[in-house]
Amino acid sequence: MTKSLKKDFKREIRKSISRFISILLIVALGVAFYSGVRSTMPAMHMTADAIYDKQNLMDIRVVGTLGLTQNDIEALKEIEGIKGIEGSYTTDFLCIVNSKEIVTRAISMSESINKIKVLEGRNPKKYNECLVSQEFIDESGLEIGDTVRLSTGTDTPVSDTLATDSFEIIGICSSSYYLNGDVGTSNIGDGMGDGYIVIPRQAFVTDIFTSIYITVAGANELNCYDDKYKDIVETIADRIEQIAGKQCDIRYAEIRSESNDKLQKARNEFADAEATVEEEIKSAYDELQMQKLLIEQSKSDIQNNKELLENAEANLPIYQQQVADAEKQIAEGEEQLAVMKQTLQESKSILDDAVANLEELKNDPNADPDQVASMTSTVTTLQNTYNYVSNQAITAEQELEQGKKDLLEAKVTVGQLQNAIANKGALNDAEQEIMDADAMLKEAEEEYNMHKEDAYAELEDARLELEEAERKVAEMEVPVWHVLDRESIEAYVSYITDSDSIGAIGAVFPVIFFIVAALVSLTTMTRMVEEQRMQIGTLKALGYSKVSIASKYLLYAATASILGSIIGVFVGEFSIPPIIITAYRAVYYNLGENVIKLNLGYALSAGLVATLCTTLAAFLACFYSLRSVPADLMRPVAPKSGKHTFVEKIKFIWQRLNFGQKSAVRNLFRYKKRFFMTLFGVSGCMALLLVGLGIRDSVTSMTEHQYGDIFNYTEIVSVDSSLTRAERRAMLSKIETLPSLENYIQANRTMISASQNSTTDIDDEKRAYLIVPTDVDQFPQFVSLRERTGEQSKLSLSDEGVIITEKFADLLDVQIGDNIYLRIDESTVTPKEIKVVGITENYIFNYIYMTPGLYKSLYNVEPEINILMMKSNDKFSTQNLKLALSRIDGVNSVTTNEDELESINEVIKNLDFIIILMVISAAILAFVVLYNLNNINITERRRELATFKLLGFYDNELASYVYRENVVLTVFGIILGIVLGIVLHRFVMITVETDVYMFGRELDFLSVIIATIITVIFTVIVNAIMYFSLKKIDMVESLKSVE
Amino acid sequence: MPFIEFKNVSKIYQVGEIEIKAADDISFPIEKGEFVIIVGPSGAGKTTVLNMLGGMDKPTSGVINVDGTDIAQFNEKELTAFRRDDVGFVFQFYNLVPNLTAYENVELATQICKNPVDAEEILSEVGLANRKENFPSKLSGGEQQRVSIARALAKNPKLLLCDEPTGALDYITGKSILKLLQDMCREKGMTVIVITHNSALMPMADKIIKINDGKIEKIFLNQDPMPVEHIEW
Repeated sequence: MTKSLKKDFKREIRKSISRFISILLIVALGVAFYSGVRSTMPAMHMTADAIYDKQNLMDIRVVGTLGLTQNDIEALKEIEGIKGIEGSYTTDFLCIVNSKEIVTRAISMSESINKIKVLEGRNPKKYNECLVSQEFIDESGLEIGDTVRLSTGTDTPVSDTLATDSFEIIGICSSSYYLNGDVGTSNIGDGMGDGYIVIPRQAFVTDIFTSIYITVAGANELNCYDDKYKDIVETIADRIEQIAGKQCDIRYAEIRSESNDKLQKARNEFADAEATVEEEIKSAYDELQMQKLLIEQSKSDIQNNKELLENAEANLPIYQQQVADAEKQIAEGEEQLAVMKQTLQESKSILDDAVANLEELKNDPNADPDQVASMTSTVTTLQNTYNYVSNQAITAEQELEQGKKDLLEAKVTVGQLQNAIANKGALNDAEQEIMDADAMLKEAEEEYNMHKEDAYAELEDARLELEEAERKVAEMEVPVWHVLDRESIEAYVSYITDSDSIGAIGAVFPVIFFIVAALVSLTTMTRMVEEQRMQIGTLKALGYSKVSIASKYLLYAATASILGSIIGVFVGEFSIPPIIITAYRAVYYNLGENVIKLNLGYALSAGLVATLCTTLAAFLACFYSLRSVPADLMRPVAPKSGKHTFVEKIKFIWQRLNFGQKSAVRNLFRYKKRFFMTLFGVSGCMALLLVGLGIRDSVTSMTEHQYGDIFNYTEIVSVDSSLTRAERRAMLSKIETLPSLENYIQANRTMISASQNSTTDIDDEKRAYLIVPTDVDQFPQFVSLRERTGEQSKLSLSDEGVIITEKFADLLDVQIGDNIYLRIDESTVTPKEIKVVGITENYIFNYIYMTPGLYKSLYNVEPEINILMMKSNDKFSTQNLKLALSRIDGVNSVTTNEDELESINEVIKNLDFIIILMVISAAILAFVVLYNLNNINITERRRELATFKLLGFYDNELASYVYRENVVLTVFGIILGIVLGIVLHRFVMITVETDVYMFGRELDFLSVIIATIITVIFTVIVNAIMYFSLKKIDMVESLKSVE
Repeated sequence: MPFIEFKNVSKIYQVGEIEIKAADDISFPIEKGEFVIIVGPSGAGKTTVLNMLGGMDKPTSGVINVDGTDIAQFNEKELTAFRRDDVGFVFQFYNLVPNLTAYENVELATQICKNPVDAEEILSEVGLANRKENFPSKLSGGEQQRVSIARALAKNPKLLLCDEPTGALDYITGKSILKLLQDMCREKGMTVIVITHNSALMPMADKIIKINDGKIEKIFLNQDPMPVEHIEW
């Protein structure tokens, strides 16, 4: 480059500073977007790694299916490469505050690994003090100084695990282990952990560790998202696996003897319980029988009395007659007796006379012996007569006495009968009483039967439980260890997923801006070279080499783009990652300070590509000019010749067009570069808008489908699963009286893990709710099971297998007919194999639906009822319904679909940020591309337009002549943009989808309309701005010669 | 009253402290159907006169009567309407729309003015009936200028304003174009005003207006204009 060329170069920049700046800015924009968004993922990683290092997050977690002991720790300490080791206790509890059930994870205070940060308050000192997570505070509404009361939600008492069930909150803490405060899933309550509390180690009464945390030597120094880190952790994990078998055998032997003891105790307890129940039933039965007997007795008495009464009523007159008769007879008898006595008296005196006469005779020796003899015989006869009469009198008297006696008796009888008749009323009362007693007896009998049934049922439950326990012990397998890395931490994984999404989006969207930057600088440089044809020709004519002529333009482009790249890299890499990380901080609020470093890789690649693109563009632009001979270059460039287009062949249409329309049609085909760039700009703008609006559509349609079409219940009531049958019956009868209740169904809901084959690592397993409704026929009223695609045919539950939700099938990569393996929790050694018989439409969370029959055949027990799905009408407000339900014993908590919708709507609100970002990006894209192109269009056609003006075209006619092409291109761009938008939207939705959501894949028609309107507005604004430059065109220019 | 009349027209540009008088008290009449040549060296003020006469610019002072109306008083919109309906322009560089065929370039004029002539007919009149479907780049300079004239005439204007119509053409072609203009003037009674620096053309005009240094140097009538064929330069 000669001195004068250098001077020219410097002046060129100064003269065309706006062009220079426009290239610089477009490059800066492209580079900023590209390097900024791309370097966000590494920045997110570094930011998280910093807090992980600071809090010494574990590298490896060892979990045993039967727990871990101090012995295991000692064994692990021997392994080379382990830096730190710490046993830890973790148990999930329920904390019920204001009838809200909070699934609370109790964690033992860490010593050196997984350190927590106390945000407020202090570390716990006493065994009954605790720190709580912010999440817990938010969920429970408790504050520092309040007391947390824990329950297990099962019949195992808290005291099995903890020294106390109430802890005083003395502070709030955060932990990088729970980066987003989310403790993940749980096996109790609604299956979703709500928060955690950190309590001193001494509060745990057990000496069996839940997990052992391990840090690996040298791992802290590495970025945990690098492969190097993964490698060294894996090495140590392998070493741990090697000692696992031996340790598990030891543990097995230990627990086996323990379990046998426990089992024996349980057996005894059961026997006692059985005896007690039998005894109770027996005594109740006896009591009942006794009552029965008494009532029978009374009944027969009454019956007798009744008969007697009837007899008496019949016999009384007879007896009365008899008495009357007897009285008469006695009177007659007495009379006869008196006569008889008289006769006897007379007979006596006769006899005495005769005896005296005889004596006299006898003493008279002269008595005639005949006389004496006749006398003697007369006396004898008289004596006999007297004796006879006397005997008769005695008999008569006796008879009389007897008669009197009988009469007396008869009178008594009559009296009795009369009494009996008088007591008839009393008898009736007695009869009524006995009837009442009878009814009561029946009730008592029913009650007895019910109690008996309950007692036996409960006994049966207990027996089954015992059997289950026995079976468990019998089937108890040698425990296994799971050696897990950080990817077993749900928050850790979800952070990776989120940063990956940003990475994926960063790989696509900024490229659009990059291409725009390249295209815009290409057209700008082409234009510049075309404008300077004459100068190039002159220089060529003067004998300058091609290289030295071209160097001006190459340098111009390179300088602008290098400066632009530097600005772009710094602005992009230091502003975009912090903005995105700050947005994510709303979720991952336990993140530490942002760690933002210049990412040289992306900076250099973006800068290099941008500079190369523009320089190449400049080179291409010069290339053609430089090939021409100077003479050609000095002449004005022949305007591109018009060309007939295929549209002209359709005479019918062509003849109806005016010259402006004809010109527009030909221009479209003539300026292909411009055509495609406008198309690209408009369709890109449209696509970005559609993605922004589509994200909202997808989330909205997800909730609409989930809560509108699929979940037909309105509330889930979590109930105490340890209720007795009687208690549950009482609870249900109370619930049934709620006026707002339309229907309900009982079900079991359990959080479980599943995998597509039995050997999957547990941290690769996917979590889902297992739902087992008690009433399979009614279940479809509460949850619609149907296929999403095709004919949307209804699915029904059967004992053949389970129905799983669509996203879950995707996650497990299974189809109908495949088998999946279910694992209740980390202590399950062998997962249950089960066939998938249906895949159902579902958007939020993952579900496995199973019949109770299948459950029983799998687990040998009836599913425990822990939720009710309810359908309510609007007789009660949600608030009142919750209040009413919370007053019922046995109800733990109520979750309404309304609440769920509300919390999702909160999330949707956060999406506005993304939508605004998209609209701004779209606007930038539209403005940059359209402004540039219009500008070039107008500059190139300045002469033509000036002629139009001079020919007397009004400004608006001129504008419509120029805009016609823009309108057509905008329409094409919008159509292409819709297609592009649909594709991009789908890509974004699939990229940002997590394990628990399946977003709607379709765009709402309204969004297409809104995006179209916004795109049209953008183009109208750009065209409106261009209107002023059109107005400024001086028509006198048309008279000038072509430069 | 003449068909067109400039009365004491001045155009003064203020450049900083200095006043530049591009037109200084210019007055001249033009009758209907006259073939007028305005001639003068470069920078004499021809273009200023052209701009004002063509409704592209307004004088600082003075009256420009065209068919009884003072266009010096027109606002932007009225001036545009004046250019649209009443003036036909013929340019030095033809100023055809490259993207439109000869026919369509004529349509460009006919589709906007009030009282157009049939485009096909006018193309035949300028002798381009068989080239009407060609794009300007396929036509020679003379043919392009004919299209330009056809476009100007198609409007059925009150005056035809030609700015160096032969400036970019060779001798013979230039002559044929001038002939066409003269014929149009004679046959159709069109008022034709040709602006040129070439004084050799003067004999063909009915009226010659010589301008120099922003002032009228001389106006003279040619009682017996020469046919173009007889002029040599």
